[in-house]
Amino acid sequence: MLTKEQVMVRNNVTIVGTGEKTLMLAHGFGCDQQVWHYLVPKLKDDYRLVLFDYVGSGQSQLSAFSEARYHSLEGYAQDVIDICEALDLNQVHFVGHSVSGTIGLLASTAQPERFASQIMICPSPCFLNMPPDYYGGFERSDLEELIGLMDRNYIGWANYLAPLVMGPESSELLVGELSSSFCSTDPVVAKIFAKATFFSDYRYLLPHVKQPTVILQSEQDTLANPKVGDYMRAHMPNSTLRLLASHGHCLHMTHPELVLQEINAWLRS
Amino acid sequence: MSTSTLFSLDDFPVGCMVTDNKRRILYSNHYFEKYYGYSVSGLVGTDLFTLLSKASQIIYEAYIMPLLLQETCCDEIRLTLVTPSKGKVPVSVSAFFDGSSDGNVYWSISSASRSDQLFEELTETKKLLEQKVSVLRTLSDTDPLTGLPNRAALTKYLDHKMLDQKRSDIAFALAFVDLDGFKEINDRHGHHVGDKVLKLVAERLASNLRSDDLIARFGGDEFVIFLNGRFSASLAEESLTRLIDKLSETFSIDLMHLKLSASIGVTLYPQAKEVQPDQLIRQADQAMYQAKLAGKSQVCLFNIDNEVVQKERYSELLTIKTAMKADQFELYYQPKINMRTGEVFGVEALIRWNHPVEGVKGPATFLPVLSNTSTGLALGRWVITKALCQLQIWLQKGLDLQISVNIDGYHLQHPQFLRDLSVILSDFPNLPKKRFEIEVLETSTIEDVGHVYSVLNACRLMGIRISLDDFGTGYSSLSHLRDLSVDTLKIDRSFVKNMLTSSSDLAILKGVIGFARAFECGLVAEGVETLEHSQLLIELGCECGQGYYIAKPMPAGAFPAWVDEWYQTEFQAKYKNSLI
Repeated sequence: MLTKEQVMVRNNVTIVGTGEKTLMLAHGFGCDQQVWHYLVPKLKDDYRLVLFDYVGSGQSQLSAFSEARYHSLEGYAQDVIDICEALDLNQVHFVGHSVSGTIGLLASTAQPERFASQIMICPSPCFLNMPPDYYGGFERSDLEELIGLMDRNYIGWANYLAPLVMGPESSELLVGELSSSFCSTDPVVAKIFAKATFFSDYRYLLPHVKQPTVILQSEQDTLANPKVGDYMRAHMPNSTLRLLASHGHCLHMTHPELVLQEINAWLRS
Repeated sequence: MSTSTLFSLDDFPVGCMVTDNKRRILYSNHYFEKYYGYSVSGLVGTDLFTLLSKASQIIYEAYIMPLLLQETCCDEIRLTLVTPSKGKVPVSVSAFFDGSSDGNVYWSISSASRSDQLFEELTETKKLLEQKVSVLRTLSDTDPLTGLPNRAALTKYLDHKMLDQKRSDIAFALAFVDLDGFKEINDRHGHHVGDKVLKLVAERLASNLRSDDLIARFGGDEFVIFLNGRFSASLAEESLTRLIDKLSETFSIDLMHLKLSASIGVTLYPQAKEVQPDQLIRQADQAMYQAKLAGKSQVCLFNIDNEVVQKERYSELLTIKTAMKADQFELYYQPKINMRTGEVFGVEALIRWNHPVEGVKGPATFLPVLSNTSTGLALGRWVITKALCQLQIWLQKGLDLQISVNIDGYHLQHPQFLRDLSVILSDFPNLPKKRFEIEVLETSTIEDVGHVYSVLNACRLMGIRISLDDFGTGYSSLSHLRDLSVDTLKIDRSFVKNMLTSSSDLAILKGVIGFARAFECGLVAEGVETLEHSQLLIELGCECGQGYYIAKPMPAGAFPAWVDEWYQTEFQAKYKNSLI
C-alpha cells in the first residue's frame, strides 16, 4: 500500500482551486495533465481541481510502470482509485477526455461511493467497428497501422536495440531521456497505452453505470463520432448527450469556453 | 519586383499547405498534384483528413493537435498519406500554428520513403539480431552433449529464483547428483560409451521430473536438479530415492547392458539464515559426498548442524597438526608381564599429548577426530616410527622385549599402509621384526575385511606379530579367528574386571582362553588391577597380563628403572609373597 506522498509523486498529482465540489481532470492518450491548461484558470475559482498524469505519461514516475498492470485500462483506473484513496476523495465529478471516459467508468464501477458524476469529453468505449451494431470508427488494420506508425515515430535506441542488448532477463523497462515536450512519452509505455486504449471494448460497462453522466460529443470527431455518442447515451442509464457545434477531438483545448459552459451547467443541474 | 513574385512555392520539392481551425485546406502547392495526383483545386476547401490514413488521424488528434496548441509547432512526425487511388505513402510532416483566431496551421509534408525503407531494414536487422542473440544465448547456456542447461545457466536460474524469493515465498530443493563408478565405464568401454551413458542418464533424469523442475549438467558425471516447491526432508529424500531407482534400471548401449547407480546430496531452501546460490550448490555437493561415504547409491540431506561440526572438526585437526609439528606427542609404555614368572616380555606403546595448556591428554580426547583423516594417518606413521626407534634403543641397551602399537582400522585399510610400513621398517634394518607387534582393535570399523586380512597376513609374512585387541567385544570374534592368523589374543579389560563377580563374564573369559589354546595363540589379559585378577587369570591358564596392578603406562625414560625395580623388588612384593 503506497502512502499518500508516494501516490502524489507517482502520479504527479496537483491540486488547485477551491470549491465545494471536487473535479478530477483526467487526460487522454497522448499527452498529460497540461491539456487542461486552458480550462484550469476558468474552473479553479469555483471548484477544487485534482489533476494528475497516468503512470507512464507526463511527469509521472516511469519507474512505477509495469506492463502487467498497465496493459489494460483497469491498471489506469487503479491509478484513479489510488489517488482517490490517498486524498480520501468523495463525491468526485470525474472529467475524462477520450479514453479517460472509459477509465472513469472502470474506477466508478469499482468504487461507486467515491464518484458523484461523470463528465466525458469525446469518449468512446470501443474504437473498433463491431458491425452491425457498433461503429467505433476504426478497423483493426487501422489500429495496427497506428502501432506501426508509433514505432516509426519512436525509432531509436530505447525501443529497438536496448532490449536486445539487455537481454530477456531484464524485466525493468528502459527509462529514456524524454524531451521537455508535454507529449513526449517513453515509446514502450506509449505503445502499451495505445494498445490498451484502441484495441479494447468496454461497452459492457455502460449499462452498469450508477452515477449520472454527461457526454460532450463533438459534431465532427473522427476518433469518437456522433454514432458512438448515440450508442453510449442509449446504453448508459442516467446519461445525457450534449452534441456540441464543434470540430475535432480535443474540445477542452480547442473549445475551452464551450466545455466550461457545459461543465458549469452540468454541475449546477 | 519583389522576391515573392520571383520564386514560387510550387517549385519547392516539398508539399506546402495551410489549414484553418476546422482542418480545411486553405492553400496547397502543386507538390501533391505532381507526386500524388491530388489537384490543387480539388484539395482546397477539403478536410486535411482526406489525405491522412485513419491511424494518422489518431496521431493528429493525440499528438499533433495538442502539440500545436501548446507549443505552436511540431517536427518530423511520420504519417501515412492516402493517395486519390487509396494508395498509402509514408510522409514526414512538420507544422506550425500561427496562434491566430483563424487557427491557421502551416504544413510541410515530404516523402519519407527512404527513412521508411531504412526502418523496414532496421526491423529486419533487429529480427535477425534477435535470432542470432537467441542462438548465442542458447549455446552459452546449453551443455552440447546432453542438451541440458549447463552450469552457467543453472547459476543464472538460481540467481533469478532466489531474487524472486525475496518478493514471494517460493521454496525449492536443490539436489546434486553424482554417478557412482562412472570413471570405470569410461575406462572399460571408452569415452564414446561414457558420453552415451551421460546422454541416457540426462534423458532419464529429465523425463522423471516435473515441468517446473530444472535439471542441469554441472560437469563430468555431475547433475544438479532444481525441484520446485516446498519439500520436507523426507519428501525430498523420497522423491530423489525414486530417481536413484530409475537410474539403477539397466542402460542399453551398443548391445551392451550397463548398470549404474548415483549418489545424491540435497539441500532445502529457504533456510533459517540467508544463503547464496553458490553456497546452496556447495551444500548439496557436500551432502552428495556424505552419501558417497555412507556407501553410495543413496540420498543424503545436507544438515546445517553437520556443517558446524565439520568446521569444528577442521579446526581441531589444524590444532593437532600444529601439535605434531611442535613435537607435543609422546609415546608412553605399559609393561606386559608373565604373572607367574615375573618376566617383562613386552610393552604396549600408548600415545599421549603433552598439551601446553591442558597437560597430558589421553588418546580418547583426540583420536576420534583423526579418524579417516590424512593427519590421523600421519600420526599413525609417527607412532610406528617412534616405537621402532625406542625398541632399537632398548635392544641396544640389552632390554629384550616386544613392543606393540595400536593401528586403527582406517589406517590398515589405506592402500599405502604396507608400502609406508616397509619404508619405515627399512630405516631399522637390524631390528628383529618378531619384536614388533601390531595390535588391531577387534571393534575397528573395517569395511573391507578381506583386504585387511591380506594386509595383516602380509605383515605376518614380513615377520611382524599381530594381536587382536579387546578380544571378545566384537561381534565376529570367531570368524576373525578362523580367517585370520594372529599371534596373540588380548582379553578385554571388561571381562577381567567383572570375572570375579559375574559368572557370565567368567564364562566368556574361559571361552576366550579356550579359543586361544585351540587356535594356538598367545594370550594377554588387559586391565589387571588387583592381585585377585592375577590369581584367577593364572588359575584359568592365562599367565600374561598388563594393568595398573603391574604398572601404569610410563614415559620411555622411566621404563629401564622400572624394569630394574620390578625384577629386584616389585615382582617379589606383588606376586611371590602372595602366590602359593
